[in-house]
Parts: sequence; C-alpha cells; structure tokens
Amino acid sequence: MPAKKEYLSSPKQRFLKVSAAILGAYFVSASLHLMLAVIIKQKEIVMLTSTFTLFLVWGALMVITFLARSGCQNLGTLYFAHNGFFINHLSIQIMKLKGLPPRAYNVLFHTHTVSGIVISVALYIIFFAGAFTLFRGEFYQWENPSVRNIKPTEVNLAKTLATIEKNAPRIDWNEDLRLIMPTQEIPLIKVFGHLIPKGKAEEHFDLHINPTNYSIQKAETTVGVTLYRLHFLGQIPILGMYLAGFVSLFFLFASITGVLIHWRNIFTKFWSFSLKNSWKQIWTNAHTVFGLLGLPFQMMYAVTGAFYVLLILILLPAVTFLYNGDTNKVYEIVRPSLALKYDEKSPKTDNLSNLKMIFEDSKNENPNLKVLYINTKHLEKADGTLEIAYKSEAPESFDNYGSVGYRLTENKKLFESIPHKNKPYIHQVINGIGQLHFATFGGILLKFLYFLMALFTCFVIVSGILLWREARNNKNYTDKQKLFHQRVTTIYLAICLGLFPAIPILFIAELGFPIGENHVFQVNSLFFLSWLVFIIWGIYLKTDQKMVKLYLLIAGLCSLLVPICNGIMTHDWLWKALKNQHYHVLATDVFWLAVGLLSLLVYSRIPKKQLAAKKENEVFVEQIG
Amino acid sequence: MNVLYLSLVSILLYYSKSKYFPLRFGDYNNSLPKWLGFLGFTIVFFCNIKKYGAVNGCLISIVLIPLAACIVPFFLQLPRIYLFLSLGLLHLFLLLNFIY
Repeated sequence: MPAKKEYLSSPKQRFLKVSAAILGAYFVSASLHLMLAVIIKQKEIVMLTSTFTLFLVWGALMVITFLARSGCQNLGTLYFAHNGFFINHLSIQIMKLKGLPPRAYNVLFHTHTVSGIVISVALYIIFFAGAFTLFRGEFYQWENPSVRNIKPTEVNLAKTLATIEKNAPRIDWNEDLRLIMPTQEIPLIKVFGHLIPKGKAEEHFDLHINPTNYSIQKAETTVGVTLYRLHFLGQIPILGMYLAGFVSLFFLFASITGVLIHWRNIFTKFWSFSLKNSWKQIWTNAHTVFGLLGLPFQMMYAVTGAFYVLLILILLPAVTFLYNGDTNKVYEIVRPSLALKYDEKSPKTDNLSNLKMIFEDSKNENPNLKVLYINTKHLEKADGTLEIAYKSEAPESFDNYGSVGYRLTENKKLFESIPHKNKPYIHQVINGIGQLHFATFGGILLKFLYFLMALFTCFVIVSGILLWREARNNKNYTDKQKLFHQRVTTIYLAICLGLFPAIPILFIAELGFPIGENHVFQVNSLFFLSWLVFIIWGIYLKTDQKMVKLYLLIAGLCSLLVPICNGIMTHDWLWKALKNQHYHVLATDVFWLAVGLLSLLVYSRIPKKQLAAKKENEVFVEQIG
Repeated sequence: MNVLYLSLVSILLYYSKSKYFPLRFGDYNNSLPKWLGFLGFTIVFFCNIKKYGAVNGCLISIVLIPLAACIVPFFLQLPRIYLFLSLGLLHLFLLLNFIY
C-alpha cells in the first residue's frame, strides 16, 4: 500500500524539505568535512576521503531532512536539537528490528517511492548499458575485425613517433601527446595529440597504429563507446552527465530509505521471493528481496557513480576554503602531472634520445608493472616532461595503478607514485574507487559477477515500477488516476525493456555499415532510432505481456543475427574463431547466440493462460482509455 | 567458477531450510546442518583470498555471495525447464573450468 496521506507534508512543506534535502544536506555534509579537515589538520586526507564519505553523509542527511515535521526546522540549528531525540529513538527502534514508528515509516516510504519512480528509467539505462560496458575491451576485437590478427607487442617509441609525424604532419609536439600501449583486448597503439591550429581554436587528432608493422589502422568503431557513453547518459549534451550523477545520488537515497522501511522484515522475508502469489506480491517480494541482497553492490555503484560525475561538488568547497581557491595545489595532490609548470619561452631541444632512454630505464626499474600509457608535453623544448602510467598485473593486487614523471633534459624524477612502494593514500583512494566501479581487479570472473548483479539490479528497478502500479490498482484510486499509473508504467517499461532488443541491433550495425567517415553516425543513428521505434511500438501495444513478448521475439532474432552477421562479414564463424584463437570474438558470438536462444525459448513458453488472466487488465485499459 | 558453484551450494543449504523453499521440492528433506552452509562461505572466502589476495578476495566474495543468494531463489522459483537449463549451463561451465 502507498504511504498514508495524513503523514505527508503540504506542497509548500514539500518544497522546503526537497530543497533542504538537496542543497541543505550538501552544505552540511561539505561543512562537516571542512570542519574535520581543520580540526585534524590533515586536509589532503579528509578531502580525498570525502570523495565517498561526502555522498554517504549527504544521502543520510537527506533522509533525516524528510523526517522533520516542518521544512523550516531544516533551516535552523533547532533542527538538530529537535530531531536529536527523535533520531536517537529511531535508531533504537531500528537496532531492535522493531521497524520505524508510523510517521517515519510513511514519510520514508513516500520519499522512497517518489525518488525511486522518478529516477527509475534513467537508473535502468545506466545499469543495463553499464553491464555491457564492463566488457567494452572484450568487445573491441569483435567490433573491429581488422585488429583480430594483431598480437600486442613491445612498442618501439622511435618508430611510433616517426609514424605519427608521417601521418599527422601538422602535429604540435609541444602540446600534450598521449600514447596508449597495446593490450590483449585492444592490440593497437592509440595516439591522441594536438595539431598546430590554423585559427584560434584548438585542433586535435587521434591515430591507431599497428604495433607489428607501424601502419595506420582504421579503427573508428563504436559499440563499446556508445554503450559506455549511454551508461552515463553522455549522449545528452552537457546535462546528461550531471543528470546521471544526480540519479546516482538519489539512488543512494532510495537505497537507504528502502533499507529503513524494509528493516523489520529483513530476516523474516529474506527468502520470500515467489512466483505463486498475486502480481503485487510477486513484485513486492522481488523488489525487496533482490534489492536487499544486492545492497552492497548497489550502494557501491551509487557512491562511485556519484563520485565520477559530481566530483566538482566535492572539490569546490575544498579548493575554495582549504586551498584559498588555488586549484593547482589540488591538482598537485590528485594528479601531480597536471600541476607541472612549463615556460613557453623555453629553448628548443631534441629530447628523443632521452625519451627513449628514460622510457627503457623506467621499465627496467619497475619490472612487475606494465606500461599503460605515456604522456609527453614540450617534447621539443628544454623543459619537456614525460609521464609513464603503470598497472600491476598481479591478480592479488588491489592497488594497481601508478605513475612516474620525468624532466626529459635532466633525466630527473619529478614525481613518483608506484603501488606497494611509495603510492600515497590519496592516490590509493582514487585508484580504489576506479577499481570498484570498473571491475578491473578480479579478472573476468569479477566482470561476470558484476554483469549478473547489474542485471539483477535492473530487475529490482523494473519490479519497483510494476509494484508502484500494482499498489495503486485498488478502490482508493479513481479510474483517471489508475489510467495515469497504467500509462506511466507502460511508457517506463517500453523505454527500459526496449533497450534490450536495440543492443544486438547496435552490434549488427557495427559490422553491417562499412567503415568510413560516417560509420559512427550511421551505427548510432540506427541504434537510437530502433530503440525509439521499439518504445513507440511497445507503448502502442498497451499491455505488459504483449510488450514483453514483442521485445523477446525481436531481441531473440536480432541476437541470433549477431554471430551470423559476424560470420558473413568477416568469415570468422564460431568454429573459425575458436580455431584462430579469437577468444574474445568467440565469447561475444556465443553470448549473443545464448541470449537469442534463451529469449526465443522464454518467448515460446509464455503461457496463454497468463495472457488470459491479464485480459482483465487489458479490458480495463480499453474501457477507460 | 568453482567458487561460484560452492557459493550456490552453500546458499541452497540455507534456502532449503526456509519456509519459502518451493513446494515441488518439498519431498527433498534437508537434514544437513546449517553450519555446512557457513563452512561453504568460509571456504569461498578462503579460496578467493588465496587466489586474489586479502582485499580483492574479500571484495569478490562480497559480490559473489549476494549474487548466489539472488540466483538460487530466483531460478528455483522458475518453471522446471529454466531451472534444468540453468543447472545444465552451470555444470557445463564448471566442466569447462576444470578442463581449461
């Protein structure tokens, strides 16, 4: 049942509480961290710890804000005094597994429902696209047939730089230049640099170099990048990323409130998921049971996701108050290479031999680490620098990433942060957040676990949407209200579930469209257009069953087409991929084959009885719609 | 894969003692003590820590065990065909894991 209205606030109070929850709780959380930094006099450590604790405190304070009886209380210090007793009482109730008092329960239930339903679609897209993004590297060889036979080899810097000069004659050697080393997944040298601008605007270039013969590879493919960008709503200009950040933050809030309202039943209903009850009960159990079981995973993603996008909200108060607005000091702590100073009038020098020598020496000095990329700046000037980024390949190492910076002319170390040697806590925190978020610390097993957990999270989100509708499908609501709930749910489901068949289409489009200037645009256009068509088609069908059947059928057929398309376009059929040891290609094909077969199996097994039982719902929609 | 398998078995030992365990498996009488499930989790933690180190091992276990707790009730509640299919796949993966 939805929350009881007698416990809910008036619209004015709601506005006050929402603004206090978003702005007030942020300011309080930031102030608490700043105060802590001043008291313990370890501002670097507090600032970096706040990258995750600020969001946790912010989320917790948001919950408390909604528990206040009046929104005005949130604005004053009386708020804490008044609520101190209440919060203390609340925590005792919670610790005794007694559940919340009626008012707190209803207020939190309502805020959980509202925040959940508002963020659900975006959150589903973020998790679903994110699940596939975990295998971005593994998909690369599938989406780019020209690199399948390239073996990653040691990079010859002189040859690489000569290839760059030949293919980008207008290169500005004194600007930032990054060379990403080949890996098992992406066996190419990736180059990102600047061109000498013709006008005022900066001009960039990127190249993909084959490390075996130093030829240029056309590698403008997009499956991994499209899904990765979709994962943080990057296709929406400017706003998308921040939207994803706030969705993460409210996901944290929804998770905390969800645990609080479910607290009393945590043990009694721990295993209560069942398909034998009414739909409302099925969705309730699915939402609470899997939501609770996936809680550590979901909380981790809520915090690390917010960190990546809303980092500016952490750094802003820290830079302003702890470092008097000097951003360079913060750069120096977080990324020492960004704080290096360069003199534009520095004399011209040939640093090539030093670059090669330092690169080889540094590799010999760190034999257990693998070079990820190198960065140079002012390569042809006397104050030129080189940054080498390393990664430890040891499976038992969580603290994996490191870097060393050199002044090229003097062969002098400017900074060093090597794991298990001299890496500071601050770098370890950033490294840890990245490791947790991108699942880069436990090999393919962990990626597989993350993938399944992300799909379970999607199930929790969808069950939440359906629960929202089913809980309102009773006599307390007018037909008009019920129709609104039905329509909202249908649109939400169409957007969420329509993404499933669109993803195999993205894969097919990748190999279907010829590589060329418009390749990325064509592939993305087909992907997003097909998703839009599925959404509209799904909404038109009106009932959940018809929509699910349609999506299963299309997804099943399109998924089966993925390995067929690969076989036709590249002649790398499953058995040939196995024979040629193209394991990433094989795994991708087998995955889509399995998804296709499973989708068609589920499609064929949806019982007609179930459809008949749901006819009632359909008739209702037709009657009032 | 073997740690995932062991986690699933350990979770099953707990789940089979719950009142929500599906009735169609009602004739399955789990007389095994609960501590065997706990022992399974301990072995999972130990194996992960041995292979991936203390931090990585604990983190992997923290993802692995909740995942197993999601998978077991989810698949046992599904119609038989999906259950048997998933069991077949699971054992196929386990076999491949031992071969390679």
